[in-house]
Amino acid sequence: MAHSDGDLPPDYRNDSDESLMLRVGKGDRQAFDEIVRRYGAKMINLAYQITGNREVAEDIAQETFFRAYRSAPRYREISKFSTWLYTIAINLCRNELRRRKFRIFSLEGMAEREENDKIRVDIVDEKLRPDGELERKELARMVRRAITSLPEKFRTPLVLRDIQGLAYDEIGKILKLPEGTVKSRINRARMRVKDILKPILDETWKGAKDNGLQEGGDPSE
Amino acid sequence: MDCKKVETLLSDLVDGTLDDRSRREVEEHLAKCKDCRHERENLIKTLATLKAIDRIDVPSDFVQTLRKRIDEFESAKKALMLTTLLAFVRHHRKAIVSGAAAFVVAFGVTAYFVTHIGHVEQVAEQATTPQQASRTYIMNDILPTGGDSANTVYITGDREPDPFRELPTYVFDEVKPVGLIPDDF
Repeated sequence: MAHSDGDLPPDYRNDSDESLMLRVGKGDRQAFDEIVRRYGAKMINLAYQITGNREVAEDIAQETFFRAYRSAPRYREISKFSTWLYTIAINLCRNELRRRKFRIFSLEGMAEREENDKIRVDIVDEKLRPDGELERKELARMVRRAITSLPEKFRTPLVLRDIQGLAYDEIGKILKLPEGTVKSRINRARMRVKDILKPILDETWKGAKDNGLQEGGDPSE
Repeated sequence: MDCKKVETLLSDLVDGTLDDRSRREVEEHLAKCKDCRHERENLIKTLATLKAIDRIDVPSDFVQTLRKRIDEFESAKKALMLTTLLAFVRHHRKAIVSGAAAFVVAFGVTAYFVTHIGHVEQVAEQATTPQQASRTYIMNDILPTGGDSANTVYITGDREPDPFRELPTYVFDEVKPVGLIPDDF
């Protein structure tokens, strides 16, 4: 049967990322729309969690997709598409963080650091509130601050694993690190976040079976 | 197993990636140690909190902005290709013109001989004078070798207006050989 008028967009929902990218390489813009539909939220959130800035995150996600489109004609099915896309996004995030590091001596940088230093004070304040009830939003804000307080080399693997839900071996490929290194970085990052959140966790998770235990001291190292 | 060692293995424990022996040892320790149990609980809570972290939505204009950028990129790419081509042509104008001329001549001559030579031979006997043709071209015009009078015939026909003025492209409607060039022509 001859195909219809071509008014209907081709349905790419069942195609693999890799075959879509090969189509994009041949100039198929609808195949690219499907890629953006699949990864848009993931890329924006990844960049947001690593850089901690919404607008920057949107720019990074735009740039990631733009670069993917630009390189599509040279894309070969050697690696998993998602690995390739994540690598682009993370490199852009790192560039952004490096730019910021460069500004560390500016007033802006000072303000940013002061903001970070305030985290623990805030946590203590919250703990001292009589009702002890933290808004979910407030908790999310604290978690985000805890994440951004991690050095990038711990933050990125943590975000990839515990927020984006990627497997260790894929994270290893994205970051070009051995799986063992990835694991130990994630482990250390988790411990750091856990220690930072400790006062809140004890307060907000009332009713957990170990409730009532007294911690042995200051959560900081 | 001591608390320090257990702490390094907690992450693997909650991931379920610990080998059986280590898992047993860690669990034995946890059964005895309140502090480590508490650490494990906190780790589990931390991971749950991380998973539940607020996600931001894709802004409504995200796809549109991206499409626009790609459109601009595509038209810039086309413009760049054209500019590059023009610059190349401008820079190598002489080479291109003479190359094209050589090609057209070679092609024209070949095409001419392929399509007409038999006819030329057939009517060659009837040839008389150049004046018989309403419009006459000398094959020497387009034969780079020239001088060889055996190759020289008169042909009637119209010369097609051609944008490449200096390129001798001929379109012949009829071949009417009128004989060898007379010595005094």
